[in-house]
Amino acid sequence: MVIPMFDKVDEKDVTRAIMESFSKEFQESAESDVIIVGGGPSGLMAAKELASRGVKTLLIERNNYLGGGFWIGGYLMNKVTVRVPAHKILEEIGVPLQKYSSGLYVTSGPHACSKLIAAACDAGTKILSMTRVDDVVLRENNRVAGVVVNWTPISALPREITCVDPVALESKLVIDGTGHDAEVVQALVRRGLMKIKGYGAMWVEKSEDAVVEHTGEAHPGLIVMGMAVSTVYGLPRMGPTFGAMLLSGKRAAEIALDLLGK
Amino acid sequence: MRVILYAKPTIKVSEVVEYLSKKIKQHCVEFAGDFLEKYPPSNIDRLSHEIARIRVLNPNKEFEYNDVTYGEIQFEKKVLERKISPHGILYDGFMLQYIYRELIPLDKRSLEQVHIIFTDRLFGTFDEVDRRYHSRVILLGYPSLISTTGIVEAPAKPREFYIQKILLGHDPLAYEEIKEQFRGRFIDHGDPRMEEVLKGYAMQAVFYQVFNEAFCDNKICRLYNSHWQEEVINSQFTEPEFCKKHRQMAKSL
Ligand SMILES: [Zn+2]
Repeated sequence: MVIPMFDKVDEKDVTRAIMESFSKEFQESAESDVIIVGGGPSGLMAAKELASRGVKTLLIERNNYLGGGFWIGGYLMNKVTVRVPAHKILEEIGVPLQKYSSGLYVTSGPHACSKLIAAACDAGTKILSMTRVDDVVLRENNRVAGVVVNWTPISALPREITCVDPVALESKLVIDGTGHDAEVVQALVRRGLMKIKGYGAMWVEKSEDAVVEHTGEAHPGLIVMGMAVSTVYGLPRMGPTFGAMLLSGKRAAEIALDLLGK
Repeated sequence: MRVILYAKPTIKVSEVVEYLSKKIKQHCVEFAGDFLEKYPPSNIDRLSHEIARIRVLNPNKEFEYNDVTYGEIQFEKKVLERKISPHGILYDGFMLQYIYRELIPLDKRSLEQVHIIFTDRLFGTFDEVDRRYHSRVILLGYPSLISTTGIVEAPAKPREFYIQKILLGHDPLAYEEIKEQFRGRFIDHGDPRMEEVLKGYAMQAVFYQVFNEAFCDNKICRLYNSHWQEEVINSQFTEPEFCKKHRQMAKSL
């Protein structure tokens, strides 16, 4: 006699399970405390910090995977380096680190990235994948109060073909962590409500620090973090620095907590 | 005359104050703490806006007011509240000097007072010859500004350093490794030699005000206008302190 490995389940039950669970979560996500756009290292970090403090947090990611560039280090090698004091963040979430030199730690990209994703999920972050931000929701005095989203494949196709209108998700604050593209900021630029500085600034030392220290409210209701910061403020371009991304995410969460009065 | 030095608590200048007090006998030397505490702005939002306006975003263009954004004002406000440091930003030196001067009440502005402000802001001036901004350590005038970040950024590091840097691009980690190779040959952020270097620049500001002469052509003299880090180290750390002429002049201070 063959013992079945799995219980017998109808296909329709599979469909219903997916639909019911997704739509319940989506319905709840129509209104959040904070919407974070971009699931790279800074997005995950901010999500973990906020959700673990009881802030209703929704993370929007355009790809079907989270982590952005955090899986891979330089030269397509999956070792990532972080500078002191950013290593403490990884230590805290249980990522094994090796000390390389006095100020530098090295770790496995897959290990660090998966732990950070898990930490954000464990903290209670809700996640919307394959979703792109098309526009922002504005309130009195043009304060940002949410985002307008569509499925990534729909956004990628010409509008004449898809004819699928987006939907709006509301929140008290939005955080742009979409990297150099600064996608949420660009929505405000298109509306003529924000200016971005682009590049060209003189390269000086401590540019990494500048990214962390410029993390903050760039428009009422909109916090900018990670590499999007360099686009918005015209800071010099630099190579991948995961330490700065993690610290920027943490800083963004602190500023959000402050603005939310928590 | 009164030499008044200003620095926020994160910039160490106690040895500079002691040094100047020893060198200057005819005049009074005084440390007045944070300039912005001594002369607080009447409106911090307006001051944040004014400072944000003088950021240099394109070093290859003559000064023009920056089209200020909400985020830049928030940033400057936090800097003024000493919550963060103004890392990575270049400001126009003359405009910064102007903003500081305007904060000094009219009845306190006299040529009998030498105001020297130590700051961690990086400032530069536009050079009409090569048509670009150069970061500076010191900007003489009223008040005189001395930048600790400028000491790191303005005088050039050894030539080979930059060749390595070009080869490695803008990767901050690689940059740190190159710095390691050249350690000691330049003044770095948090360098224990920083205060000693500040003494020489403070003397330049004093000489400027008292003798209307701040710089010297002699490479061993503390008043030498160094363009290279190695010149800074050479002029500020080797004996004698001053050239013969400036040693004599210093005696009359
Ligand atoms: Zn001399």
